[in-house]
Amino acid sequence: MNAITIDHLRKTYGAFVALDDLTLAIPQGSVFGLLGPNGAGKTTTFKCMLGLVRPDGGTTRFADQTFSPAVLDRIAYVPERSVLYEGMTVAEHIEMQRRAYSKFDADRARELVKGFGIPDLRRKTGKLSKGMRTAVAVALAFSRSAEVLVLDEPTSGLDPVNQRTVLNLIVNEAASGNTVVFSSHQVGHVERAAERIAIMKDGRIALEGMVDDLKADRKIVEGIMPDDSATVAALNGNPHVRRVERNGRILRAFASGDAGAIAEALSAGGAAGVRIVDLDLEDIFFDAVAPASSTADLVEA
Amino acid sequence: MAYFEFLRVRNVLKNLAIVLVVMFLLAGALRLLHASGSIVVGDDSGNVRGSGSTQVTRIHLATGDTQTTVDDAKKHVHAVFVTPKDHPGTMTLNSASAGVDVALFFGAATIVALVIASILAAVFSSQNRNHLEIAFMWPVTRERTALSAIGIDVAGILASLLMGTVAALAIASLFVHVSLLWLPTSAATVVLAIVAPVAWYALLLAASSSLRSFGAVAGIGWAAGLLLPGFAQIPVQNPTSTMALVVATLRVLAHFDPLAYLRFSSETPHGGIAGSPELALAFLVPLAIIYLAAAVLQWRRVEA
Repeated sequence: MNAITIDHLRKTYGAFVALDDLTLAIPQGSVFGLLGPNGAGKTTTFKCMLGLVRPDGGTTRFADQTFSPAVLDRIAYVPERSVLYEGMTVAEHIEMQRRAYSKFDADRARELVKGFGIPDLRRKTGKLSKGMRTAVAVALAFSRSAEVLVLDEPTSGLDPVNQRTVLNLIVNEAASGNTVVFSSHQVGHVERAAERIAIMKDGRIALEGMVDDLKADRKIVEGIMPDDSATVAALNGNPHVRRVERNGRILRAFASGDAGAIAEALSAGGAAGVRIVDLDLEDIFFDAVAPASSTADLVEA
Repeated sequence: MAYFEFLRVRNVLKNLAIVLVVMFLLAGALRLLHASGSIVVGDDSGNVRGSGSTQVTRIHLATGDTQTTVDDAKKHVHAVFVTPKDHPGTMTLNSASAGVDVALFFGAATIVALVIASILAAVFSSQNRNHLEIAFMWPVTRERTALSAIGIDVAGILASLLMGTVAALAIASLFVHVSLLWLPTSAATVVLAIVAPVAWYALLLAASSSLRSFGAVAGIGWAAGLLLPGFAQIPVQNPTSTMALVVATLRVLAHFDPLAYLRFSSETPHGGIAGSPELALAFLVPLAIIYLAAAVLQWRRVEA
């Protein structure tokens, strides 16, 4: 069962297309990482999902329910930038959430905030550092007992210790059956916490799948060519070659699927020292968001 | 958001209370200053004469001083002056009581409530600036979120009106013994004093509900709100001139300005654009409702 089903979501701001026919399904009880360069549409996706902005088209369903204000009692959201009331204290924010949400656990919120290194709950949030404000927002969200947590850059501005705390909270939340959707510019964080990812580019999903499957399916085939202008005609038009990069005599073919056949093609094309390299999530990310370079251009150059 | 607004209103009222207490203390100090000396109100007690409904009586006290009592049942005035025997040319106020229309105190407090209304009307624009991700995430409709905040603000405005009335009464009592008068038109004038700040709040709220900044709205609102009723009263010599057209337009626009309906006393014969407080209420109440509805409808469409 999917916790969130996004169906053909579209949002434009004037001529700029922020979301372009976005379709996504996020399984219940999973940690879903949303990656993408700035302006890819991650934050707009979250805001459209939560009704904070009106999409031009498409729908979002939470489990079996279409979006309605009542659904928001089951969803916690941490925005990318701090939206806390600067004139209110941390304790007042906790009290405000307690009054608004039916399952809010004020004791847990206090405990989490203190755990993030903010012992004085009487401090106004306007006096806190950016990282501390993020920590307060995260603590409030994780005290909601929400079935779905939507976290936009939840580690932004946090020190490494608190970043790890947030990642642990995310994993624990999923372990208890709730769903976490989060975005981050730190691919390593997503790789550590998420079991499933989507990479956005220009308002569309460029790549989506289980992290392990994506890693298993994608390899780099690397070979040293006889000179820095040598080409391998066999790579041209190969459906398993996503992209080719050249760095001097080193030719790197980004393979999806049969990497062995590509390695053989490189060897046959005169490449020496051909090897197949596993990709980490960062390589997969860069591969997905890289400008669509023409394999043919490189190979035939 | 309701809790946030509750805290904001509480802080605003707390600050208002401090200002009013300071004003009362300053007035008290002024009263003490005058009490230590003599307030010379006349140069010759013999010149005080009764006329119309005013009656003047003089008696010679055992100390040799002369006591002059002025009574006016119609104007609800009672004043006692003393002319010391060793300063026969002076006349000092010994005690005074005055009947004051209760609406006058409410009218004075309306100014306080208008200022508080102007502060509280920033509620939506302040949310628009940076907090919509909180305000729009409450598990209730946006209309309900908006109405709960408006309800708290209106309660705050009414509380400020009450505080202003009490302060005005307290300050006046320092100087004269006030007898509150309830005139036939007092009820409507008091209701007008309550409705006018709410309508003013509603106007500013409607004008700013889809904006992120409030300062310009408040500034322009106050300037236009105060000037419009004045400009609308400019006498026009030539009814076919361009000036006549401008003034006629301003007169129409003034009907949408809650400040144009203000009256500060039941006895003011032509206070406010509507002429009578009853007519002013007939305009103001629907105006306030329309402005509030416009504010809510606009705000619910704002995007985070």
